[in-house]
Amino acid sequence: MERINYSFEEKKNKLKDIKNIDFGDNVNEIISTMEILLNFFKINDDPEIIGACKLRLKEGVLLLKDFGASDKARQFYV
Amino acid sequence: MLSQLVYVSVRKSNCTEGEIQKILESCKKNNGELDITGVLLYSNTHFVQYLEGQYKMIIGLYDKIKEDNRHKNVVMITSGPIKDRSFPSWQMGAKKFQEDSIQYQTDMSVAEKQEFKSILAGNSEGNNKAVELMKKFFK
Repeated sequence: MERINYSFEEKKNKLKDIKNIDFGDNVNEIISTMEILLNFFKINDDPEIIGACKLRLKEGVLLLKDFGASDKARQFYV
Repeated sequence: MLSQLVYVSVRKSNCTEGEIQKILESCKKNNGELDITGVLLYSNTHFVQYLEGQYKMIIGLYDKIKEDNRHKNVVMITSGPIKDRSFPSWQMGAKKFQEDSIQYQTDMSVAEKQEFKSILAGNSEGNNKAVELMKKFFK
């Protein structure tokens, strides 16, 4: 019978999903994407997933600042 | 091994109601061949899909689903082994829901409604709850 390491597979997929997240091209889309990332960041306890979220959150913060939404970016500082 | 997988994604504006019908038709056609069952919940802005079947089949399908241009930001909420299928006769059940009036469409409590909304935002805590809440739409 095949043996599946579900936690390893789930982690691998979550990391891939985080990497592939697309912020969109307007402030509202970026914010809803950032909310997903922030939830993932808060909930997961795996250091690699946390690190991946943190990296993408920082990227999103810079994008929001580029769009002139620095005030909205503040809620995503981690 | 019989397994389940739940993901959420953001519906893109190019995904019209007509496109949803196409998705469902293709699910019904392909899922039967792959022995995959499950349900799809969708609103104007989100998709939540529950898949059940052999792990290799559902993970292969998940990889294909992620490439679909009609949605984006696909994130896996949970995956894991199951003893039995929750939707054994559904090649792909589907239901549209309104995110601002979930309580009128199900018997969800206020707390469950909040939990469901947080799942839509990618919250994977208490992941079995996601499946339980999805079932409430198909009672």
